Amino acid sequence: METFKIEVNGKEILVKENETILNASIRQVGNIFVGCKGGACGMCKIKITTGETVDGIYSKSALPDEEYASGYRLACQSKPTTDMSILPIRERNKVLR
Amino acid sequence: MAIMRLGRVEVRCPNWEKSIDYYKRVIGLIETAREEDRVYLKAWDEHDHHSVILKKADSAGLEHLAFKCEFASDLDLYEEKLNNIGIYTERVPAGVRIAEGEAVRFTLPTGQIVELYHKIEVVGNGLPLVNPDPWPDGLLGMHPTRLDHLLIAGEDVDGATKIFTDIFDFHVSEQLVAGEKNDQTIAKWLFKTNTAHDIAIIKGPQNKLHHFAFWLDEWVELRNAADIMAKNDVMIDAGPTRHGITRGTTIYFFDPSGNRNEVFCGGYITYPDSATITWTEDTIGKAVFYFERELNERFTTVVS
Ligand code: FES
Repeated sequence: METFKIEVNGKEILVKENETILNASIRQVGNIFVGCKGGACGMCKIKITTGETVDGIYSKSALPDEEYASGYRLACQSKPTTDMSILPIRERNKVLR
Repeated sequence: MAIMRLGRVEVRCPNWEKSIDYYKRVIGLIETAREEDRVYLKAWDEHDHHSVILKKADSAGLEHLAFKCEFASDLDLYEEKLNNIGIYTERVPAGVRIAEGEAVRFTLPTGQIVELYHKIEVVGNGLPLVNPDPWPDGLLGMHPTRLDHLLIAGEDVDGATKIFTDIFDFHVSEQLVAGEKNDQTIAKWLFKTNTAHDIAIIKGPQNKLHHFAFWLDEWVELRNAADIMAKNDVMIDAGPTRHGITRGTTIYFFDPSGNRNEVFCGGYITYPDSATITWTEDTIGKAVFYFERELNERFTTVVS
């Protein structure tokens, strides 16, 4: 089984074959914000520093084509095809009160 | 004359095939018609042709919401009332969507498109009208009885509320307020039927959908619904739990396109003379999630 290493904000996590970056982050406390997991809210957005992905279906309002072209992805729809280094746009979920 | 109920929601689904399968097999809605870019669905105990329309689209969110009026003449009447306060309306001719009659369409100050209609094809609830059993055979998934309410987000909550109270004779069952004098609106819950809410409006990004909800008759059905969600790897947002507001029991979760759904059960009944309940910002945790007494950031920030 192929696994990829992803550096999320300096911390290394392992992504299993066919696993989304967001699910791998949830398993290993990668601290990427968990929103709808359906590609609609844009809360799990990441910026790629290095590496490549394949991506599922998502809402263009959450990730417009220009953003995709400049290296943004939705972690809930994105699977690595190489080792990567990424930065989350929004950090982990907080409890409000 | 009157609006009778929330009649339908049209929801945009980028993840098209998966969303159709989810609404039919996991939620348990019944497909009544299909065209190239729309699937028409109803909950089993609804008699009208559809209450949920899935629309194939690039972006998630709410395409429109619609209220069913008691009489055909209500359309003229509401149209005139809306125009009198400077709200532009247009007519959607019959036949634009399957099984629907003419509708009056306008935009709320919070950005959502609303339609008012009277005519829609009636297909029945799968039970006879004489000596029926309590439910039909062959139900799937969570099989809610009906579409219940929705929560929309936008900037001008008070402006949108005023349209519902002044033009459509809705009443405010509950409100969540902020500020030292408790005079800033965070959210309003409004009813026209005698449930605790038919629509709620929350301050947030303009023209967004927070969730739409299906009705379950009993609290134990929420546990079954949670089992079905887990079994099908549905992303659960919160619950099963209870709301302070409305006193209903609930689970929030997301469809495969990232639109938030709710299954809702219970809550009190309302009358036109019911007094408005107010929650202050310092109790917001309890108001929304009564058991946890705290909100998660996802619930307050994620919309589609
Ligand atoms: S979690 Fe909502 S878009 Fe990824």
